[in-house]
Amino acid sequence: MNGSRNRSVTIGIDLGTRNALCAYMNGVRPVMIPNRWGRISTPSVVGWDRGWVVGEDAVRLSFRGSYPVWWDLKRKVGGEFQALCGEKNCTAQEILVPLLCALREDAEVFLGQFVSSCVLAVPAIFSLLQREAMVRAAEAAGLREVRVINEPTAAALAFGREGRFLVLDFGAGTVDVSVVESEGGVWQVLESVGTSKIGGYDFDLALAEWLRERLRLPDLSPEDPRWRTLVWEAEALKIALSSCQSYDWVPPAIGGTGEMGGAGKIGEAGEPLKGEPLKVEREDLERMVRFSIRRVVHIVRRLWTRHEPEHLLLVGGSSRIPLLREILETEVARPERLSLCAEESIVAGAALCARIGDGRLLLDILSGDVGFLRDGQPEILIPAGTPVPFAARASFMPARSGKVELPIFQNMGDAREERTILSLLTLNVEANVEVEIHCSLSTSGLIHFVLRQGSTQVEMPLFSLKRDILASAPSSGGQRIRDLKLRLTPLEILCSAEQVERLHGLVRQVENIKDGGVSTEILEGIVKDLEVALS
Amino acid sequence: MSVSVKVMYSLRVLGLPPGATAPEIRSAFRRLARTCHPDVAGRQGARKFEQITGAYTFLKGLTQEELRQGQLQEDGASRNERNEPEAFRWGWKRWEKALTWRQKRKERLKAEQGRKERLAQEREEKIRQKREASVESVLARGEKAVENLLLLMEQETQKCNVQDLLLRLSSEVPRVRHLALSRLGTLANRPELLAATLRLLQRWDIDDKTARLVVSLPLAGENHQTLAEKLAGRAQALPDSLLMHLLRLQNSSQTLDRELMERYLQKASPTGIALILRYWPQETFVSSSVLLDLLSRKSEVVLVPLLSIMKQRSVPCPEGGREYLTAHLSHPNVAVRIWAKALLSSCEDSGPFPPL
Repeated sequence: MNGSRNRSVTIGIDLGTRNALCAYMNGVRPVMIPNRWGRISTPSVVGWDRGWVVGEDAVRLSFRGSYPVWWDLKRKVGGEFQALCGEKNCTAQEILVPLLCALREDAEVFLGQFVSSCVLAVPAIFSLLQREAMVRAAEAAGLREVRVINEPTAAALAFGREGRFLVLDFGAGTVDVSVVESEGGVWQVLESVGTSKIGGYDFDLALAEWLRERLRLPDLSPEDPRWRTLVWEAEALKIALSSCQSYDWVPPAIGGTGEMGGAGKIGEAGEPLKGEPLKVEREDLERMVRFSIRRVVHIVRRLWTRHEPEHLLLVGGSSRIPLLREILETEVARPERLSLCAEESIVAGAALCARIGDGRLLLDILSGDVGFLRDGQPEILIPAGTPVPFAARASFMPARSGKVELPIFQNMGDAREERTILSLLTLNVEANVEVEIHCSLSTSGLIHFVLRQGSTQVEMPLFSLKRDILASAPSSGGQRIRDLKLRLTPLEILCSAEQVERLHGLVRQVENIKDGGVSTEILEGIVKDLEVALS
Repeated sequence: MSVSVKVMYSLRVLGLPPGATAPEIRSAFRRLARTCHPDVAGRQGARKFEQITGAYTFLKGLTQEELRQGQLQEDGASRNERNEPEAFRWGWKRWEKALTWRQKRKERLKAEQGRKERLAQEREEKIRQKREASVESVLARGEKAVENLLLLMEQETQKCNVQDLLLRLSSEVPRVRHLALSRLGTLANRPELLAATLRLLQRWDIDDKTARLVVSLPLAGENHQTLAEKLAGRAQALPDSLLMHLLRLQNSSQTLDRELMERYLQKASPTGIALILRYWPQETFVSSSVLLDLLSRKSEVVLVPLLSIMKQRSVPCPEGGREYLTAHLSHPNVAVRIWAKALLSSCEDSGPFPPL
C-alpha cells in the first residue's frame, strides 16, 4: 500500500457469472484483493433471508433450505428478470448491488481507505442497456465513478506483450472472442464477438442433470437445496475431470430438510446413495459439452482466418477444459497460457486500466451497431467496430407535423441478429423543418442521444457523460486557461493597476478549481465581457 | 465527395502518404490516438479524436484496390503543385506594390491624426472613465460567479462525503464501520450522520475500537448530550471507556448530569455501575429508589464499590435497605460481608442500640 494511502484508489472488478474478483494497482503490479472469507474469488451469488446474503454465505444459504438464492445473475442484468425479495420486486441489477457492496467493503477493509471508483469489466457482447444497468448497480453500491471495459480487452491488457492476438474468454456464463492488436503501449480492439448462450455454468447444469438421472432422483426444482448440492458437486467434478480421465465420485448424502420429502424418499428409487462411488469418465462430460465447444471453436476459427493473429490466448475458467484445448490445437492454433491464472487475468487487466494514461492506452470498439428505426426502416448511426469515444449526427425531414417516435436500437448477438431497443424518443415536430439527431458514445461505451428540432429537444440520458471518470483527465483545462490568459494580456493595459490585481486573483482562483470545465467557462465569460467592455 | 477524394482526405487526416496499406493505417491511427484520445488529452482531444476515428473507420472498410485509387488521384494533384513556384513569384511582386502603397497611406494618416489629437484626448478621458466602470462591473460579476462555483463545489463534495459516510456507517462489516467512524471528523455533528452513528451504536456490538473512535469524535455539546441520552437504554453493552466519555465522568470542568447518571445506573453492567458510582459527585448520592434497586443486586462487582462508598460518605441507609444489608451478611464474597456488616453497625450507631 505504499504511496496509495493518501490518494483515492480505483479498483478493478471482474464480476463474473460464477465468481467475482477484485484487484488494485500496487505500484506497477496488479494485486488481488482477498475477501472476508480469506479467498480471492467471491461467488457471484446473492440470497435473501430477511436481508441480503452474499458470496459464500449465500452459497451456504442455498444448501440450507429453500431460500431464494440467485446463482446466475450477470446474464440477466438489463433484462426482464424480476424476483421477489421480501415484499419488493427486484430486478437483476438491484440484486447485484449487495454483491458489489460486499466487494467494495472487502477492498476498503484491505486497503484501509474509502473506495469510490472502479473499473468494471463486462463481456464484450454486453449491450449498451446492460452496461448501463451494471453502472447503475455499481453506483448504488457506493462506487460513484465507474469505467466499463470489455473483458477480453482487459485480458489482453494483462497479457502485456506486443503483437496481434486473439483472446478467447470462456467464462461461466459468456463466451467472448476478441482480436486485439498492441503496439507501443496502445491496445486496439479490432473485432469482438461472442455469445451469452454458452458458458461453463451450463455445463455444470447439464452434468448435474446427468448425475441426477444416474442417481434416479426425481425432478428437482432449481431452489431445492438438493439440486444446488448436485450442481455444486457437478462443478467440482467438472474441474476434477480436467486433470484426470475418470473420477470416482461419492454422491453426497443429500438428505434435504423436509419439504421435498426428506432422506427416506431419495432412496426410494432403490439406488444406494451412501458411500458407494460412482465412476464418471471424462468422455461422459465431453459428450455433453462437445456441441457447445464446437460452436465456440467455430467462432474462434472465423475470426482467426479473418485477422490472422499471432497468438491465441485463453482466459476464463472454462478455458481449462481439455477438449477445448485439443480441438483448438488441431483446428486453429496452439493456445498460449497467460502467465497469470486464467481467472485472474481479466481483473488484473481491469486494475491496469485504472491506471490508464501513464504509457498505456486502450482503444475499445463498439460491439453492436447503434441506430434508429425510421418508419420501420433501420438506419445505422454508429456501425459496430467503431472505436469509442465517438459522436455521430444525422438528420431527417419530417413529412408532416405531429408526434415523431424514434426507437433507438442496438444490434447484438453472434451475427448481430438480435435487436435490442434501448429507448424510445418522442418529439413533437413541425413539417419540413430539419430534425437533428446527435449521438455520442463515451469511452466506457455509454450512450447519450439527443433529438432536436429548433429549440425543442428530447434526450436519452441512459447515462450522463460527466460521470465517466477517465474521460476528464486532469490536464484538460490547462491549455484553454493558457489561451484565455493570452487573450487577457492586451486587455490588462487598459485597466487600472488595482483592477489588474483583482483580475489576476480571479485567474489564480480559476486555475486552482479542479472541476473540468465550468470554472474555465466562467473565465471565458469574463474575458469576453472584458473584450466587449474595452472595445 | 467521390471515394478517391475521400480516401485522400482521410489519409491526410491520419498523416499518411497515398497508397498506405491497412496495417500502416492502423498503426497511424494508434499513434495519433496516443496524443488525442480523451483518456490522455482530456476533452481537448475529443474533436481531433473524432476526426481521426472517422477517417480510420472509413479507410478500414475499404479494400486494397480502393485504397490505391487514392494514390492515382494524389499523383494527379501533385502534378498541379509543380506550378506553384511561378505562382509564388508573381504573388511577391504584387505584395511589394501593396507595401509601398501602404506606406504612403500611413503618412497621410499621420498628418490627419495630429489635427485630431487634442479632440481625441478629451474623448479618451471620458471613455476611460466609462471603461473603468464597466470593467469594474465585469470583475464584480466574475468574482461573484467564481464564489458561487466554489460554494457549489464545496456543497457537492460535502454531499458526496456525507453519502459515502452514511453508506459505510450502515455497513455490516465492522472494519468498514471503523473506517467510516475514523473519517467522520467534524461532519459527525451533521444530524443525518449523528443519527447514523447512533443507529450503528444501537444495532451492533460495540467493540473497543468502535468505542475508542466514538470517544474521539469531536461532538458538539448538545449532540454529545443527545447521543448520551439515546444510548441510556443500551448502557449494558457500552464499554467503560465509552460510558465515561458519554457521562463526562473524567471531565472535571463540567458538572455531571445526575439524572442521566441514574438512568445509566439502572441499565449498566456491574463494572459500569461501579464506574459510575466511583465518579459520583461528593456532596450528594443516588436517589433512594435507585439505591434500593442497587442494594438488591447479588453481584459483588456492584456491591463492593456501592457499600464501600456508602460507608465512606456515610450515606443513610434507605427505607427497607436494612433487609438487603442483613441478607448480604451471608454473601459468598468476604468483602461484601465485611462492608455490609460495617454499614449495618453504622446504621445502628445512629439509631437506638440494639441488644447485643
